[in-house]
Amino acid sequence: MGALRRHRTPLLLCLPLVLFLVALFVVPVGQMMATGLYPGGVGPSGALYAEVAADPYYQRIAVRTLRIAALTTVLSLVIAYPVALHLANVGPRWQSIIVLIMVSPLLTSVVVRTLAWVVLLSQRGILNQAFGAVGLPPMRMIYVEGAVIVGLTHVFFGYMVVSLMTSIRRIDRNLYVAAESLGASRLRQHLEITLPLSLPGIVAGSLLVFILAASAYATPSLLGGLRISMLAVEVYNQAITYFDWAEAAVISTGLFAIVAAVAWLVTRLAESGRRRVLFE
Amino acid sequence: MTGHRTERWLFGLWTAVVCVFMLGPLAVMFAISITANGYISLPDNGVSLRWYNEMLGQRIFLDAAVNSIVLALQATATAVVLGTATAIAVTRYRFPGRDLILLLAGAPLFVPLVMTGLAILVFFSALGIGGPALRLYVAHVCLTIPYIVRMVSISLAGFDWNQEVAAQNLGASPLRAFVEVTLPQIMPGVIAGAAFAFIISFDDVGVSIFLTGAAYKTLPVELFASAAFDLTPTIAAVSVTMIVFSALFVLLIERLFGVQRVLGAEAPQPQRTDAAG
Repeated sequence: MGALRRHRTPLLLCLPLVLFLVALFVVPVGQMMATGLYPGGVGPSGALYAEVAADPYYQRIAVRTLRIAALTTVLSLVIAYPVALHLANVGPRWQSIIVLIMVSPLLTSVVVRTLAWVVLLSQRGILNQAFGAVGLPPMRMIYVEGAVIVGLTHVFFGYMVVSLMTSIRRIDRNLYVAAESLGASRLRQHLEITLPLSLPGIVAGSLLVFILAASAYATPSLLGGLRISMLAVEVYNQAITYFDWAEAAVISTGLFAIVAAVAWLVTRLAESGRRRVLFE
Repeated sequence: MTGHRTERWLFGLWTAVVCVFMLGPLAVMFAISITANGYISLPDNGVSLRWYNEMLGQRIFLDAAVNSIVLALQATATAVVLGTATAIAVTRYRFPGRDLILLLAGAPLFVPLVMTGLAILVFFSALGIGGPALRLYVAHVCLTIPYIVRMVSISLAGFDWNQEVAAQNLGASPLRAFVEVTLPQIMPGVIAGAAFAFIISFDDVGVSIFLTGAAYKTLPVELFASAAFDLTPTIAAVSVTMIVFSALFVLLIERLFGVQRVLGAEAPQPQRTDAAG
């Protein structure tokens, strides 16, 4: 009780937030996960979890979700890295302008940003109209995996740029001066200084983009349509279209578990990787 | 040195191309919204504002916009009060459970949006209380709390709590010391956090899509549903309006706080000096 009295002020300050989140976030999420353990009101049993996990339809969608999220992450990383390097080179004025351009789309609704790609890529969209104008046949660019990957990359790209830039900017400039005076080429400087020292940014940005892309709903739904479904889209379809909350709960718990497992694995790998960079 | 110049030039060019990739689709959206043609197309037959007129004439978008703004204001106000109190506690004091509370306050960010949406849908349906408005309000408070806690914590990071102690020594009540000394100094962080929370709430579709009803939709959900049904230039007009609306908030946040700090900063650390409070 003494500890409680001593820490009364901060605990009271946190109390409203804790009550709100526990009662209206933690309990509902926990309850929803449990819903999957009581299919048809009986249980608890893992039967529904086992059934969903063994279903080839869901297996295919889970694999596709992982593939799309991974490709989105790689694409974002490859596109963003040179931008982040450039941001470290330019003055503060340009830097804030460029960052604003990269980041401000993050604060526009995902629906709006995705729709911009829908009108570009759809069957009678702007790009196909342009192809038609120069006499090319229309191309199928929507409802394919590539469309979802491009859309997701556009939607989450800003997170990658900011993560990379933060860690690249922390690198001590003197390292480059030293490397140059020792005769290292610019490429070698980047490979041996920039790359290893920006690893925390690479990991953080990649994790963020991967998690967001794997859990995305609106973008795969609009750009993937019925053909390229992902796990989050499947959650919605089961819950709202088929009204099967238990199955939706199982899929969303599965999605959460997959994302959490990948995040844990990557963080562990990065930890050991960093130790190797530092101590060998 | 020549190596550096080539590098600068190459990366600069690459960055310019990426800027086009980022802004291009939004610019195309704008072009479509002012087309004189009757379908999704660039304004090759002249410019017209008919689609904006059309948009204003459609009750569904107006109603949805009002719903979204009211919802975002309510959710933001609640999240600001809950989040600021917690941010002050975790930056100023060290106490048992502090790390757990930080984890809890950030938890809604780690759970997929569809999971949060589904969970709140199932929870409220089982209880049998509340309509879409209440469910959306609860969901959006959860969704915005992490941002408020983080942004207010960051702006409190360098704050010297002795100022408050000094005010109290001079006879101010704790509340008055907070309102007159602390609050004005953390105001930019709180306002930027509120602006960010407002935008997160206003833009959300992943959670909201589970919670809206036939008669109560938010603007992004309405836009999503309309676009899935039929693509018209009106959709582009609504989109451009939302982009402009968001841009105003981005500029406000950039002015007060710096947009990069919102997305790229570390977790808050308590100050060691005044650990016991």
